[in-house]
Amino acid sequence: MMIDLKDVTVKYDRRYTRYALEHINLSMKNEKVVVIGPNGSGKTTLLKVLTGLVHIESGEAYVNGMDVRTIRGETGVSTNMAEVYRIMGSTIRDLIRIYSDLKGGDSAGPEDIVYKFGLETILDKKIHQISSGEQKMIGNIMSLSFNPSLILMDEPFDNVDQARRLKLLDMVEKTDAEMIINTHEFDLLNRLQGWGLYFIIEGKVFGKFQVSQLKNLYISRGELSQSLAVMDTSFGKFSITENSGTVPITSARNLNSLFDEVA
Amino acid sequence: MLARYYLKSLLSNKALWGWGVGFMAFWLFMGSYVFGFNMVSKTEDLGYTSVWFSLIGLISGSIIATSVAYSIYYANSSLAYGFRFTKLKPSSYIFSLMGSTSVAGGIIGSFIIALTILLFSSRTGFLILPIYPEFSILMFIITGMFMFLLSAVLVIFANNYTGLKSISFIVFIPQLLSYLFGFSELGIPLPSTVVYASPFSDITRLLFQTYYGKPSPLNISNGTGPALNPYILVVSLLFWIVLLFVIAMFLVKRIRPRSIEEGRQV
Repeated sequence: MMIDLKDVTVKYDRRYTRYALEHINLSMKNEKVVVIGPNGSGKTTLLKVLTGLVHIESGEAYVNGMDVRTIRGETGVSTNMAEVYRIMGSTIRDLIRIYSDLKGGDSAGPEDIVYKFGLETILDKKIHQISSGEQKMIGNIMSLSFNPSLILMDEPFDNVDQARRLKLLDMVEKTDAEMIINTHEFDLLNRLQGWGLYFIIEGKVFGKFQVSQLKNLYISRGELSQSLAVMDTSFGKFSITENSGTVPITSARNLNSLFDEVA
Repeated sequence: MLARYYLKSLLSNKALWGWGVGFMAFWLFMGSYVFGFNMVSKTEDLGYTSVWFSLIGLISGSIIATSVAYSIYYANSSLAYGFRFTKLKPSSYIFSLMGSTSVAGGIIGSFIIALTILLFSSRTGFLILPIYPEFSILMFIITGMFMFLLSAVLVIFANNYTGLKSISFIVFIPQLLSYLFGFSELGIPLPSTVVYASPFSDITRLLFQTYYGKPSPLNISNGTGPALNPYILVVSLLFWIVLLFVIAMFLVKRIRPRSIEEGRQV
């Protein structure tokens, strides 16, 4: 499946000058990528653009050659975002069956995954009766089910316990679908060698890098001549360099603390 | 598929049973035992019972509308995603929910019929049965259809084109209009053109007729005035249903994903 973003700009409130996404250009075809960025950097908005869940101020977004504003019935795209699974206030079991029908799949698959993750006790509960971690896992399970060709996962490991994170990573690694995973955490990325990597800061995307490069990437304040990318932010310019620099990116647990350290 | 699960969801909604049946039982009790202190004869009291039945039937339907309106509001992002990336179509969504709301309306209406018979008969000592109960249930089904479409239009319009701060008011508009038209007919005699044109009055008058067995008089509170033409009432109500269906289809195709947090009041 192909993704094409052409000069996409998103603004949540027209009264504000700040963009949630600013002139994003991104093309992907049959790839798996991780997008990392601090909280509020635009990661979720990027996935919302691709799922039609946000108004595009300017530019164009295409999934499989179709404009996301007018696309209809493309069942191959799935996401773990909780708000798309609120079609009615049913139990989790019924929601799985409803989406199986809507996606043209079999509910046995996701129900088996629910058991695999030891979440069977929530099947007869409604979405508001389960914890945020369980809600996240239901979104993750839905996104990985029904044979999708493109999976868009927003912070799939947030509020998920370590044992389930590792099981989820196993599933993510084994899936054949094209994927975009958003995260602000680095510690699980070493399992995703071979994946592409983008940084997103203040609504701007930088890359493409490779996850396998991550351990050799450094971040430094200012614009360095040997930089692979220069991130122009409201709190200054930062350069990403390979093999040398001020702070190794992997030394921080996430990008939030990394910028504090460099700044 | 969607209709079956939505019906299940509606019928397992305790608030809907509490307000749609429990609270209506309270009002029927008030109508029979508190306000109906001078009920004495079976023939005269059939008219009095029919007035209460029609008013409570309308309000009960509007309570379903409020539940449905909240449900659509919470589903805005799911629908925006669903129309793009699942097999869900705007028409199948509207038809499914309209179907299940109508069935729920018929089921809840059956309880309203039973409660009316029980309370008014026990109060008078006469068995006061509806003359055409099958048409009463049919009217509850049509009322469910109308109330679903009205709430869908109101909520989706607010969702697409206005701020969501007012959402907790918007979901109650069907109830407010039902109280307004229902009670105003008891106190203020409305001109026949208003009665014919108002879908709320159409519902009340047709429900009255199914219980009473004869066309509703213009002044329902004291039984005076010319009899209303039931065919015009039906045509008017069906016109509203078709009009709201067309508007609902137009709006739902353009549903805008909004954060439900926008509806937070404080």
